[in-house]
Amino acid sequence: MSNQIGKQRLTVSEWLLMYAVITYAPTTRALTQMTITNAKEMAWMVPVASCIVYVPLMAIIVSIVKKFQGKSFIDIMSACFGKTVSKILGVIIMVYLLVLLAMYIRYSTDQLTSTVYIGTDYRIFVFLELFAIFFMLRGGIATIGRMNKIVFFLLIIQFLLLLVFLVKELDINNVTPVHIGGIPNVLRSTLDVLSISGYVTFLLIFNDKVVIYDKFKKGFVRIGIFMITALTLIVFWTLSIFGWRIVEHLNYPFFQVVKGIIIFKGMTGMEALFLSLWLLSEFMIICFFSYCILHLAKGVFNIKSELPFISVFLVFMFLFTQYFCSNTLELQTFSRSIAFPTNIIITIVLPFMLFVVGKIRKKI
Amino acid sequence: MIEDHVMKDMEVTIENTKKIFSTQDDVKYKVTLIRGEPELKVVIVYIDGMVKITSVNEDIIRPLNENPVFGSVATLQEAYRAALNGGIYHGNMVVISKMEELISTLLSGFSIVVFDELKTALAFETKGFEFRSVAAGQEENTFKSAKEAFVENVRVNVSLVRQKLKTRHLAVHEMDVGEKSNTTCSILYMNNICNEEFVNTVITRIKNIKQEDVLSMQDIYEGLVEHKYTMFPQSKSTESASVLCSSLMEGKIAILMNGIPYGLIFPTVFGDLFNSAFDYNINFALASFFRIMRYASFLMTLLLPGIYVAIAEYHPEMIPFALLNTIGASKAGTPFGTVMEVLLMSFTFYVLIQVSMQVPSSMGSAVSIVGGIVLGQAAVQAQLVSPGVIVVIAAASIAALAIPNKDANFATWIWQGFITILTAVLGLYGLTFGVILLLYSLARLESLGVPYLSPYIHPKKMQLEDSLVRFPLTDIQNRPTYLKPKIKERKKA
Amino acid sequence: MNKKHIAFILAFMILFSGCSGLPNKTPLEEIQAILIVGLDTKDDQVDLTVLSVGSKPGAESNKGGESIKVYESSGRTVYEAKQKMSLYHDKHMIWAHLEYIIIGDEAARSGIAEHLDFFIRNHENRLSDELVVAKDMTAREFIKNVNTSEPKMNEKIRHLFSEVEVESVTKIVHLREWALKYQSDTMSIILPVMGTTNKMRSEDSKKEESSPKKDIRSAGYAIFNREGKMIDYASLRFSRGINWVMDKIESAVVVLELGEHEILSTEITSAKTKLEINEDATELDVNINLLFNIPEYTGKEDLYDAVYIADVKQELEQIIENEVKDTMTYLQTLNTDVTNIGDVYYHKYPGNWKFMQDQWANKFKDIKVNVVVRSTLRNTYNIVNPMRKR
Repeated sequence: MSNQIGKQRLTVSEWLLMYAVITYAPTTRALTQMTITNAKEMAWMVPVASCIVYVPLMAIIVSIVKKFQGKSFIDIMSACFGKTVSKILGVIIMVYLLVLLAMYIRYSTDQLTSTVYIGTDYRIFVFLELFAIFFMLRGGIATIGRMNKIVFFLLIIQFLLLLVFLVKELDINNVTPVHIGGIPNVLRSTLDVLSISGYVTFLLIFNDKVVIYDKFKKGFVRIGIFMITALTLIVFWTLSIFGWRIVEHLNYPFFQVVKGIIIFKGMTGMEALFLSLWLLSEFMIICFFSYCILHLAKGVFNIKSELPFISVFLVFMFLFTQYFCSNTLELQTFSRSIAFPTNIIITIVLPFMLFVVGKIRKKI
Repeated sequence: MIEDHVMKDMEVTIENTKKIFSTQDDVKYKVTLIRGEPELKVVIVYIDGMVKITSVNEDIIRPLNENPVFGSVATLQEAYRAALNGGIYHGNMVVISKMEELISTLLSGFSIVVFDELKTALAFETKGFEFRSVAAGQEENTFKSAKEAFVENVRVNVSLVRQKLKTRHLAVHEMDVGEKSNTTCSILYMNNICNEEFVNTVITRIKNIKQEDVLSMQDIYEGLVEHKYTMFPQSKSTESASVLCSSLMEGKIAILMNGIPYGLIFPTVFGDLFNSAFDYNINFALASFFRIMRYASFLMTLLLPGIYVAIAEYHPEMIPFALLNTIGASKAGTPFGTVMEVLLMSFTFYVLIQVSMQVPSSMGSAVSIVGGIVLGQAAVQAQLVSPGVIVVIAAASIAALAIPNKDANFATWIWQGFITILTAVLGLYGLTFGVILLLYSLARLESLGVPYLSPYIHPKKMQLEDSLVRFPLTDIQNRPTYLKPKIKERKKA
Repeated sequence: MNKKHIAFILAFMILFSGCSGLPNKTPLEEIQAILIVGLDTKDDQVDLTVLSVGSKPGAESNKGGESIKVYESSGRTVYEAKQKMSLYHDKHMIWAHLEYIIIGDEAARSGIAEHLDFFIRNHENRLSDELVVAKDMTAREFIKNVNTSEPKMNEKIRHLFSEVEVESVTKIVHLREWALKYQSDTMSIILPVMGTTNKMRSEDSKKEESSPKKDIRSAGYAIFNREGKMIDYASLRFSRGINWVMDKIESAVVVLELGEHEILSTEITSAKTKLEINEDATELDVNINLLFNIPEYTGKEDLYDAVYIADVKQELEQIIENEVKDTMTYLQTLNTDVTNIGDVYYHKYPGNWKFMQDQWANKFKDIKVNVVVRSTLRNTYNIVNPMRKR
């Protein structure tokens, strides 16, 4: 079977939907909270406002993809920056992804041990997650892509259901007034959204694994519109139900929103549905980053196949995650003060630089 | 006992034939003298029961004696030539020059006219086995559709398909599989629709089947599929000719095998497991509703016991208060924990399924009484199991039967048990973990190179016109794109 | 099966052989669901009274039942009191099904914010839990002494909140709404009040005639000040006035006395209030549009008479106008903006709010309130004119 994996390719839609799924968990977990710090009750406009940067970013990525079909990220970087710089950058991104992955694993287990699994050893969940990831990675990128697509459809169905159930809880007073004075604050908050929607850059890492067809641009436009809509909806719903003053204090606002759903008087417990599907997306995001790291390592160190390294890598991750941080407070401080700016640099600044340098050197 | 390599070099004579078939008394040797001349002696060899004796009499012996062509022959050589040139009027004649050929044709129901002195023979098809006549199918729902089902004879089966698809594009590729059994297989496909890759793959893989005897569909199936370790079926078996025909028209490939009253359809994807011929014979809205119900039943079977265990053992905060109290009240007072109860009842259910599969139908009612009343009602009354668990297990297990594909039923039951056990250990997380593993095992499957989760993961469309729901038949314009058919549209533009 | 698989499975087994870290089980039959919690404070102590329901094993008939239990506990904080309870409770207590948090009179007057932190923070609780103040008594008295006709008190309270008459004078307040208002710069909190009545007795309690138990009744709103401390119980009339201003009236009944032996009842079936405030925050316009029906009329006038109906409408509008005006005066004397006028101002003039914010307390006191009510008669049910029409 192993010889088959090398040949496996992703379709464009599978590729793009990966991006949609990996942003789901961070969005529901933290986005609303992040955006309200500046934008307050106008936070729901932030995703739309972020288009100022998001649209050019997407355009740049489209042009990079178009130019470098079937080339890996390292190849793209070395075409623009030269070989040495690209290897250094590759290592930096790899290390950052390692940290990000550890952060996501900790976040997901943390949310479990602070909501429904009180008093459970978080390492069990870390282990199980990595255990499943082990198989998924061995299955190859095509398998991951297919799983991802099914997970995406499940998430969409769930998400729409939740939005419908929550409609009667919406309070328009919490998302108004919309006024000109608040626009600078909205713009200031766009970085928060971009730190999540900028994950689109990570798609470039396994650009060489995708079968690009002529109309792939349309796919990017669609996924872009989808992302902005979905982000707006999540922020709008959370904000409208709770108001920014409460969201500010909640660790997992969207989860709390779901907890409040009551259908047909007394029919509660929707969070079970939410939680299990959310877990699925959590599996996908961890798998995604693991694959990114392995694939990047493959490019940086000129390895032929990533397969032999999967188990070593996962054992390393298991240990690394444990010493990564000790509690929720550290985790949140870390993600705010280190992960957030690095995210912006790698996912937003880097592609822009790629593009500019590439244009100057006439490579793009 | 004659070794195989010796047999290869043997000459075609009656003596040799008798040596080879020394222990086969059903091989008959009929000495016939052409025109009664003793020097024009031929021997007709056939296997009793496999040939139609009237055919031997009328088509072979009668011409040998009465056909004027033989009136003028003087030597056996001339007689042979006369027979070769149509003296024996028969549509299917094979010239035998080697003993091997003689054996294989003989075993296929041919009658062989051995010209002993010339060391040669002519074989004529006189097949006349006893076979079941075409009758209504037993296993598939044939509501408002053709009732005729396949029989054990592959020729009849192919003719059933031909009767429905009267087109020159219906290709029938015949192969013999199994060194010893020499089972005839017919590979059917539409040569203007079906993807060449499928045809080539199927033919190569069937050629590579090295088994001695190919007597069941499973022998072919396992030789054909890429992933042998999965429980979900990668091909669909059908006993209905019309189902087979509609699959062919979609661009799939079908395999019929002599001796088996089923056709195997390749490639089969996950969505196909939930489709039934029934869907195409009722209103599209009803069909769509039923299909969605089937998917719901599938999920119910997989997840319901798990969810019950998770809620009752780990997450009581997740169910509404009224329900919590009802279940709690029914639960209190029974000796085992919920996990134990669920596993026990699941096990009992598996046992019942086994029993019902093994016992003859005349004893079925006894089983259902014991199973239903004693194990269900009595267990509750004796306060051994809480009624909630019985309801959950019964509902979940019965729901699996809503899936039209039997193999998928069994696979679903097994996965149900697996997920339930995971949930018993880990709660809701275990449930999700089980689902991820299931999803993984489905996602990595490919049937003849087609991703198993098609059409749901297909890039362009979900093929929604005929997958999760079914549109009116007139609106189903394209064949499934994941099959990469040569002609994409179902109708002329 | 290669070595890696085996290694992973071994690791799996080792991990589970310890089992110490595995999720804790809380089987259904071993839990007691808390439905109502009463919160009292006394001398820096928190008194917790919980009404909980667990399941009771069935007898031979297989019908299990509910066992309703009330527990009392106290401690310095809610959490401490809750923990102490586990020294003597029967089953594991879970908070997920909590429906009402009853706040005792004294606790409400001294402020409950610090005690509600537990309910917001605790993972089992939902932000949709509802808050109720027990009128003139402690929550413990309320839970223990009140004998409702329903087996579980939460059902009675839930039922009360859906009645028309109650709906017009109170509204459900969720924990999240409380939290929102508590954090807001302008809004003050109001909570629904439940009192007791002896006007109702269920058949079962006849046997114990001497029983002093009473039943629950709804009693309007409790008004809190900006510090989150209760300052007054609003009368039913003012409570409805507050609902008029806050646009929370869905239905209400107003009885008009039009003359001797001439009483006309109106049932308001829908109402919409719009608030307009001017930029200086000196004048507030309350515009109410409502639809009403006539469920009862004791007079003898011809109801087809447009002039007469115009009189009726004017009378109705006048009554509501006075109700609203009196309510606003009452709130202004208390100087507590429970009707969210500050929020209305903020939504209208978000730019000005920065300057207005600090002086809002003074501004609110002096706002002039103008009320305009427009009513429309919709129908009169089975008959139009009375039996002996003049």
